[in-house]
Amino acid sequence: MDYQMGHRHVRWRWASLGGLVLSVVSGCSDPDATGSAGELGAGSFAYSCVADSDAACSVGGAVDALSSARHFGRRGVIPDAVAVGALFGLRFDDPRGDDTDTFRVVAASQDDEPVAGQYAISQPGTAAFLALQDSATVLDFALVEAREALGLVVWQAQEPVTSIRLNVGERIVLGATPVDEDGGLLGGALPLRWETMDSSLAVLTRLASPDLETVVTNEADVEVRAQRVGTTALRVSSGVLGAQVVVEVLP
Amino acid sequence: MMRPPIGFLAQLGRLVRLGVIGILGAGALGCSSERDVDMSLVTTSMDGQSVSHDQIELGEGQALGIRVYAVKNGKVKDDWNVRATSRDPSVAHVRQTTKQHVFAINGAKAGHTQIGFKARDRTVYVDVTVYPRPEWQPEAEPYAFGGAGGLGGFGGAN
Repeated sequence: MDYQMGHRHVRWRWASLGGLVLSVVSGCSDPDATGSAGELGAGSFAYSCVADSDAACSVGGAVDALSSARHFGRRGVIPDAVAVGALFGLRFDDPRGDDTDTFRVVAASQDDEPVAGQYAISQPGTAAFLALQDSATVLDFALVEAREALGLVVWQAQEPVTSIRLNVGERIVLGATPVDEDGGLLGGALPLRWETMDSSLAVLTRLASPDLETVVTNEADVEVRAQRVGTTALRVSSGVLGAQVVVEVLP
Repeated sequence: MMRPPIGFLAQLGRLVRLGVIGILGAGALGCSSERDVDMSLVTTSMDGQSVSHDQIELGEGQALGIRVYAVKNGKVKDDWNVRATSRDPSVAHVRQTTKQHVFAINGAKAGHTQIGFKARDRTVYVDVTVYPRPEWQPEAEPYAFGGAGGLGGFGGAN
């Protein structure tokens, strides 16, 4: 019995020690740290959105937070995958350098850098992006996976929607995300076009903009304002991709 | 049966011995490199990547990190400085990293080239193959915007 108690005591001590180690390890991680570690372990790459149509930087709160966290991670982390052809930015942070150090990041293949400093992977697969100290020295490189976007999903209040009901005068925020074949959210900015089919019933605005519009382009999030009783539809499209939301406006 | 003279056999034996020595000597000098490089992949291996002592393979748009040491007489010379140059950087670019002996190679476009690793006065060339990206056709079907909920048609696809 004593032996058993002693054994259990030892086991508890080990468990406590393990917990302590875990808490120290997690405590040591910098909660403000952003970005994904480079392949060479020399620093980290921070992902950035180059346009407001990148759902990875959605601020409207329409997209499901759990899905966002799962596929996009913390702000600055490289998403699980970006959409093929979608634009994104990368910045390299050298832990040895000061905040003023900026390093050029180049795509391993020029095909993946349509604009200097902006990247878009031209077909499914994993592409590498190198942070250069100078033309002859690589500090580190990051890998970014691209998947083909096979659909657009429209979100409202963290749920995917195909129809919504509003009262006259009510405003809601909708968000659109490109998704892969498994429904996984994809990062990167695709050209997006929102359109209301009847602006006398429902109009669109950019977030934080007072302008009422029939068409809003290149925004992942839009605000919908119900104007008059009736039923109409909103469309969002990007190339061949599209989604439609039926809007019923009640008194 | 006529026996060859003893002098002839002795001469033949000497010739054979010289030949064997010559072959062994040539093998030692020519068939095994006096100085070589030791390469190992230090980054996550991506699809199609391989690194051996005389060949590097990677895909277009990919990059890899390799640790390279000079080798002489079978011994790794980790204190020897190694420099690397690509014969065709438009196919495969090689750059040093901030870590000693570690180089980053990226596949810029599909093709073949060589990377020369120079240690002291000798350069060893390693073949590099950059594979093209696989053939790909988009699978996304055009979204058909249509009527919903008794709204009637909205027209064709955008």
